[in-house]
Amino acid sequence: MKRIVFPFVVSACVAALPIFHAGGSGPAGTAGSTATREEYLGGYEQRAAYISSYYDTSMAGGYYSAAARYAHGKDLRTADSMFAAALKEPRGDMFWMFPCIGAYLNGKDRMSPETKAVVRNAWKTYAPYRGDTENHWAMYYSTLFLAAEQWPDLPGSEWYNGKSSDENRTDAKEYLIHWMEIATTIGQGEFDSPDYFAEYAISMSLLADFASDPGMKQRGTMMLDYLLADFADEQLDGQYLGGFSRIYQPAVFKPLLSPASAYAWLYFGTGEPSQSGWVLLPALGKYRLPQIIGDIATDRSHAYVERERKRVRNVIRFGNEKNPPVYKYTYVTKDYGLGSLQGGLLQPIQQHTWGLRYTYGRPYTTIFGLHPYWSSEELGMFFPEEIKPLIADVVASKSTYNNPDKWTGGSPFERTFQNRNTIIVLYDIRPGTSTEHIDGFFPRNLEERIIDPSGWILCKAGDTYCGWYPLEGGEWTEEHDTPGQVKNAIGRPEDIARSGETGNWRFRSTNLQNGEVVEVRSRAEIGSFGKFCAGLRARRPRAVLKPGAVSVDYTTLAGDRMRFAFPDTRVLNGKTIDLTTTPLFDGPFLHAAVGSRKLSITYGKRKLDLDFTKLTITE
Amino acid sequence: MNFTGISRPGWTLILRMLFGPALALMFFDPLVAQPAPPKAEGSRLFAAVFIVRGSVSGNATGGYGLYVGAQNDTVWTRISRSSTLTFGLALFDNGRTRRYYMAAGNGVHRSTDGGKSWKILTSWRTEEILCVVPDPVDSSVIYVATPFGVFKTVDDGATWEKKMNGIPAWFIQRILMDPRDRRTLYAAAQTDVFRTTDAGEHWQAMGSGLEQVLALMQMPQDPGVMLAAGELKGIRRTTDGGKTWSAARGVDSAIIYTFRSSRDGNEVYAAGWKTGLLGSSDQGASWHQVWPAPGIDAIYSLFVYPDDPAHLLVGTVGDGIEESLDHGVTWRSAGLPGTQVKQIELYP
Repeated sequence: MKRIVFPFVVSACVAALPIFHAGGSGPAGTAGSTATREEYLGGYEQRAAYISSYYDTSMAGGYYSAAARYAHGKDLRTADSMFAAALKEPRGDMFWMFPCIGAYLNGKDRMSPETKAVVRNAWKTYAPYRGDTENHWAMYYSTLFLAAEQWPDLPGSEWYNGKSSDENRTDAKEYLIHWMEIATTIGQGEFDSPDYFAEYAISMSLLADFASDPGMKQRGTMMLDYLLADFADEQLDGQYLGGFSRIYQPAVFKPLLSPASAYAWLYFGTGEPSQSGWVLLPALGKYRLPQIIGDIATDRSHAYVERERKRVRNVIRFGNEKNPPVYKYTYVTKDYGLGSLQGGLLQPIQQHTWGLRYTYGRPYTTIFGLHPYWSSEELGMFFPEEIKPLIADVVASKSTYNNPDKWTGGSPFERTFQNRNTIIVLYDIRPGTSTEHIDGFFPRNLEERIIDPSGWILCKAGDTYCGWYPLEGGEWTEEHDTPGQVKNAIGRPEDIARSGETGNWRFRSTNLQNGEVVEVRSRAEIGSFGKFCAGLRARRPRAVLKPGAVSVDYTTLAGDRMRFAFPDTRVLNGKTIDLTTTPLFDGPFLHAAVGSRKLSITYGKRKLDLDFTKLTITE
Repeated sequence: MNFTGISRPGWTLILRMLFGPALALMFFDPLVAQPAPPKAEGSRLFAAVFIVRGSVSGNATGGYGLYVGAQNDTVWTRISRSSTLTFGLALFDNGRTRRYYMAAGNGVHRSTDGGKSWKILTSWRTEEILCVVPDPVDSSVIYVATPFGVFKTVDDGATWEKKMNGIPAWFIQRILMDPRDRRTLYAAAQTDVFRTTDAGEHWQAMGSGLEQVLALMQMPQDPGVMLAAGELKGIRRTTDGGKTWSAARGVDSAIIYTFRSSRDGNEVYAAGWKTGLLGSSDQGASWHQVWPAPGIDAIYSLFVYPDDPAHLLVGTVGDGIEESLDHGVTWRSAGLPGTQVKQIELYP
């Protein structure tokens, strides 16, 4: 039966759910494999209440404390006082806009006329900047749209940018529709970012909750469904599974630090309890996750491959295509996820090209590698300033960018070829580039890290096993977190206790033609760790490592024959892999063709269709 | 936000952004219907501050935007709203109407009341404005350079149209209007210098031999002499309006961001990435270093006082404005510490 839902959120269906698990002192996830919709919603409400409970009573002040009080209708004069105090000196540009409008919309029917006047005046006198990235624009235009709806028919003299209410509303609406259109045709540009997921989710949540324009309310709802579905099928135990467009240190090696994990806990019940401000406004809101997306997020009963197509951020120099495609490949099991992008420069500064993440051993639940690359040319591809000063400009706010020991960033000299739970990574590094080494991250809390005479590095993390075959030799260094890594660069303090200072491990190899073959299995897939090791000891990748001619032939534990020649020749069992045919979404749960502006979500016999051409949600 | 500078002798000043739109040249050229060049007295110095070192969008440590300094004042005052990444500025002044324009990351800003209030003229479709060039006669016509091409409005910003017919790569750093003909403009593009003679409808490559062009200038008294420069290939020069180009001497592989000349064109300056201040006394044919600019990585903007060619201002990348009263022999700070100054102009 087809049901058109417009403009409201699709009502939930009752379904069987797999078990959620949650830790910490917050309420446990309640949706399990036998959970009903009512049970899921009960658990959701508990988690939402737990998140907001801190802000309900906090006397620290600020927009969030005011918003929570307004939303819950208590201590309203304190809320007024907090809101007005925060607005004495607005700052933060688009990062100011969403908490400000969020607090206002939660409280406009309860706040004093004086507070209302203060808010209105702020939108006249403080000029938030539009920013320069996709997440900035999502925040800026979604909140500007809502503000313009709240104060219609005002002339330009009453707005910070000199535009009238109508001009602002029209401009913001046009941008948001454009963004949704491009995201649902050729993919998000700032895609799958554990650290920037929140900015999109908050923006869409506010639209879904508060837009008066029914079309925009529906778009906000649908896009939030879309973002959460995109996250759900690449989520494991609260972690986003890589690769990513953008991630900061230390979240790259402590995955649950990312704000996206707070969303996993709120909406999926996975990971660890959080009272992060990054998830407060959605937790106060009326949006409820369609059951089918929650099911997808938590059902890891079968391993699967998810292929997705995204796009490169706007290329303004050194390119022939404004938004070249990004191909993402992720293999997901109940114990681990191995994911990758095709390699090359796909995003500036904070790209995470490939990585393994698993459920064992928080907080260091990952193994990955990279070529730590930086250049003014990379930045010049994406930023409009004169090229040479760009590195200093970027380092001023992202201090690790030109650090040879950094753990984030893409490289033009890196490519990947992944087949299920095996990945080959090759490097053909130009001499004289920013760094002439590649690094591998191995966490301190691995149960086993065997430097095997066979050439394999054999690792055990609970029920996940990882074999890493470096194509060239290297050296091991034990490292501690540096002070700069203790706080997330976007300001989120580290809230997971650091374990003993035994040091994580860096494997560094300095050959310019280089690479690694990584095989991952779980106990459920292969049995004992000994069997896994024996299987790998019996095989060697055959590599050619010459400048301009870097290739590997390898037969996996599963018997698949992989041939990979740098940069882009990928052959599996004799058949050439054509990444250009990758759909927008292709996996057991999500299905979308490039250019379609539609997403079909399936789980068992259930289906949910998001059709942005008709603005419909259909079950 | 205010910045403390040093006292300056004499006049009130206005700073203008690097490679400024043709208006500066128009001040000097009697062929174009422009008011006489502003006297320093009664004028203000405008500085387009792109960013303050260490700041970032969404950060509380901003303070960039359009600043104004006044005679014998040690304080620069921001007249733009809040923090705005500012690439440049321009002036329209036909004697009856005066409009200031800012080229900013979030669009073209316009003030019709001397900077008291501003309106953003562009929509989300036309952002990251690197250069703004108003038509000197018709205030409803404005050209902008952006990373996504040249855009033009003929209705005072109500609508903008991309004008890239003939330019293959979309990044445009700079637009320069020919002081002899307002329908002739030059674009500093990724693959060459391009020229239009029909107000942007069609563009032709000029064969400068440059790529990633960043800076353009026509000699104020001899617009047929043009200088162009960019990443890596030094300065290229034409003396026949672009028919032929040759390499200037003394700047083989310099990365040049900006040119400026004295009003009579007898002294020409250039600067860029780790170049210090370069000077030429033969209309850009040969160059020598005037000032090594110790400790300054890059210079984005230059200004020469129209009534006193010995009086120079340099807008640096991260060190604010430096000032010389003696043709660049000695220097002192002129304020805006920590800023990147993209353009310096003297406006009424």
